[in-house]
Amino acid sequence: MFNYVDPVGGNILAAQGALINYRELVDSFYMRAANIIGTKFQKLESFSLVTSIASVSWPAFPLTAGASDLLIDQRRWELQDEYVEWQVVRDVSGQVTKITFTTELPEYYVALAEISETALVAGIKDAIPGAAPTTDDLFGPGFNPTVASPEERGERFRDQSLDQPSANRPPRKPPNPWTNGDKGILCLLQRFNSTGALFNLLGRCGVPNPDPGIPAASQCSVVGSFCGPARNSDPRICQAAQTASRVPLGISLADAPGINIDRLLGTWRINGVQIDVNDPTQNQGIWTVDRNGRRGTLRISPDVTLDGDSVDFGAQVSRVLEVSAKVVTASVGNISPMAAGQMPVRGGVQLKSRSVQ
Amino acid sequence: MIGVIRATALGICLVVIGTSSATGQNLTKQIRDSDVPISMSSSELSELGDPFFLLVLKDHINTFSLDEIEKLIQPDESKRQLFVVSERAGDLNSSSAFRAVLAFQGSVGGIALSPNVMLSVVFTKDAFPTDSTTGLRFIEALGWDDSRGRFNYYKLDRASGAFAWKFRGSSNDVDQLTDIQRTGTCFSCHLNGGPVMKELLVPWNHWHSEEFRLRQLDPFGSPSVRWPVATLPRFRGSVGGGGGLQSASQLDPQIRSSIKTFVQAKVQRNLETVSGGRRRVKNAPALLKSLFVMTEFNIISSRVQSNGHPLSASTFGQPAMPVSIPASFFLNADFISGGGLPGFKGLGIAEATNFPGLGITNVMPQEYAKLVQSRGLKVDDKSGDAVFSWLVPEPSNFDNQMCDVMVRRGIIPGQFAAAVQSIDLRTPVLSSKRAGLLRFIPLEYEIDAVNPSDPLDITFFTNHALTKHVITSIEAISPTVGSVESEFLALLRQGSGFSPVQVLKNQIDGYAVELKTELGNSVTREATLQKLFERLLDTRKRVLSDAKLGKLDETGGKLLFPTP
Repeated sequence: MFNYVDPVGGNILAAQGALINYRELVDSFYMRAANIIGTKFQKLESFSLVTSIASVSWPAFPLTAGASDLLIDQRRWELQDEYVEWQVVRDVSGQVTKITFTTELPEYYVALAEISETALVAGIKDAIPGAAPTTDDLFGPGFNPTVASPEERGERFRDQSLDQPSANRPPRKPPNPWTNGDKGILCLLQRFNSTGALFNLLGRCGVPNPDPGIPAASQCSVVGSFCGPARNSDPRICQAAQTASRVPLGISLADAPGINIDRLLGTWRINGVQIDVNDPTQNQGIWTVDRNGRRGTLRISPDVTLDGDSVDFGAQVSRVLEVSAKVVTASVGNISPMAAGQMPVRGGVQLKSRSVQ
Repeated sequence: MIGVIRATALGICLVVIGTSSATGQNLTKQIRDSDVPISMSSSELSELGDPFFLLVLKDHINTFSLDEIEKLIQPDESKRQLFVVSERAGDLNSSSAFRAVLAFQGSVGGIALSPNVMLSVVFTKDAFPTDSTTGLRFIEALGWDDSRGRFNYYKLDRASGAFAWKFRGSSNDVDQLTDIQRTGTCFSCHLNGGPVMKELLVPWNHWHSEEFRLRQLDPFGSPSVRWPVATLPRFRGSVGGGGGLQSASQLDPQIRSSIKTFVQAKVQRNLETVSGGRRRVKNAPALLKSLFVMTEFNIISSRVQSNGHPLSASTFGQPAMPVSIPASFFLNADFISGGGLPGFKGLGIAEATNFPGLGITNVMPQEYAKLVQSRGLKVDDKSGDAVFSWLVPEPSNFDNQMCDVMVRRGIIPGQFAAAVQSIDLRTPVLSSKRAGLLRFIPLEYEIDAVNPSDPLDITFFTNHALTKHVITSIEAISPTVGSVESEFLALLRQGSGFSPVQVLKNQIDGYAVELKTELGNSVTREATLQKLFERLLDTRKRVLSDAKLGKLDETGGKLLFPTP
């Protein structure tokens, strides 16, 4: 198994003994995508020489939402579907004071939950200093994490914190207040932003289309529900995979897999003075990106403007927030053959039932 | 010039501008191509405060190498961006020059570079000229002076055989220029003085983008189609990542941001505080023109490729999937609805979003191919279609930004704007009916001291000076029943008992039902599609033949739009 790094760049996973859990969780996604018949998607350990690492970028604004900025902010679990989600904090007068964007994948926290509640709380406090989650917050009522198995803890945390597509229910706001926006935001929770969806997208779009009449840029529309052709993100990721597959090149997601928060565009001013908002030496601390590029925090005061307007919504900022996925490609000759049908093994049990959608 | 930007630029910051001592001596002024360059006075030079002037011309007026100029603007290669556009973008064997737009991220010396300075040059498949020894012909530059609220335009080219930088004008009062006055200036294309990126929103028919990758320029693409120029470092990007050839999707938000900043400065310049803190709107007919007249245009299309582009390496005759007709083909959807990627507050009529409804206007591949073939469309005299299906001019981001900013500042009541949109709703591009109403706008009028909390409020609309004045002006001509003036007057008086926004919403609802009915009926579907396609061609034709807008097509009507 590839030695996947801690995705947020810290030491929490290792310190809590959860790094192996995380690696196994992530590896299962790589494995399933690589096992899609005909795909050029490969596990990272299959690459003996990486030809290139390319950033596939897109704006965080949910193109298909068809709703007001206020509604997009309020219905995150339903409308924020570009692998970026955000929490808006307002003061008593309704003014926005902070917007926190996240692209973190939930597996980081699931891995911690599998170790123990204590490990999970440590991870949450690392992301949200001062957080004080209760057992009910994290696992729901009537659950005793100390007697539950690692898998049960992981699944309960998922169910409490994510709008899981596998649950076969209408989109809902998950109850965990530390990630649903009520008290904080930890990771992606929208059903189309799942880790499985991201890997499936690459894996399915990595199958070279034999029909030359389908441009690589249109491949998204012919892979069914695995790709949303009207989105910002999906067609671009799909096109990158399809283009590489036609060369043919092997393709994969760079470690740590996920989405990077790259930068804010737009014209930003503080007290009427234009600043480079991405430059920490200029931005007076209003914009910080941490956790290995997976979390961006915008601190807003009334004197901060974007393109001449006050900052009133997270969706407004999402229009100028650029994110990307790092896609690795290598020529076929530089890919080691992978054992067909190999499944990841966790605790001696083959994980054939893990949801990847 | 090949469609796009003649440059761009914006703001400044953290630097005291206008008091600079060294000021680019030897910079000359040449507004028209045919003008003899003349020296600029120290007073004129002191008025230049954009990043391009401050970082390059002020102290390095004799720098004529593109490489050196880029280093002066942004020494960090990873923060330089290269964008490419050409109406021949799909032609792998083109011998034509492609246009490169160079943008910069980050800041230098406290000056924010994005989206405040951009350069534009041309290159060919074999060479990317950067100085006189490599065949450089010109460099165009645009910089935004944030303190003065204006764009400045510069050009490096040869005068009497030697390279020299020239100041080519600013955006101030560009909207007042006549067609003759624009000839030979930057403002024959930069119609309002701001940056121009005709294909602003996804997809980009002539730009390198994820949606339409220019394979010949992909430094990591197949060597069999890769151009020699694509292996240059400026295409590959920096060793550590960053820089290099970028998708138009990364330029689009920068251009929209710079247009918005420009619009706000332009609007502010025409507001004057008068007694009691109230504000006087000056030059109102010019300021409000965007509400009635399309002063620029953008281009939009379906995201589905036509597979019929004659300049691309492979053509297969019809799209691979249904073609969704853009909402702004039917009406000015972005402004009427608000939200979406453009991010306008708009008029809040949600029914305009994705008009007339998801899937209703999906044109089947065979239907689309038949429409294209039946009208004998050509690109560059070759039968075929654009790269992306249903390529059509749409109301410009500039005009919509103008309207949006003026509505939010209370210069135009939202209900008044809705009344204007109601007129000739189904002609979002170049409506002569709406344009004819501009004459009723007063030269100036007063508005409240503060922006309205609800620009769509009915009382605000009824009591607004603009509403009252226009009603009086139209009444004075006693419009005939059934005339456009009469229709507009009734809307402003709320003669139907409904607010203009409600009337507009009802119109949109009815329009959607009509389309749904006609396209959903197998008996009427084909004729309806033909009618819509004819309207598409008519829209292209009217834009190309417009005295001002037609200047934005630099291909002589051959390449920008497919035409019969």
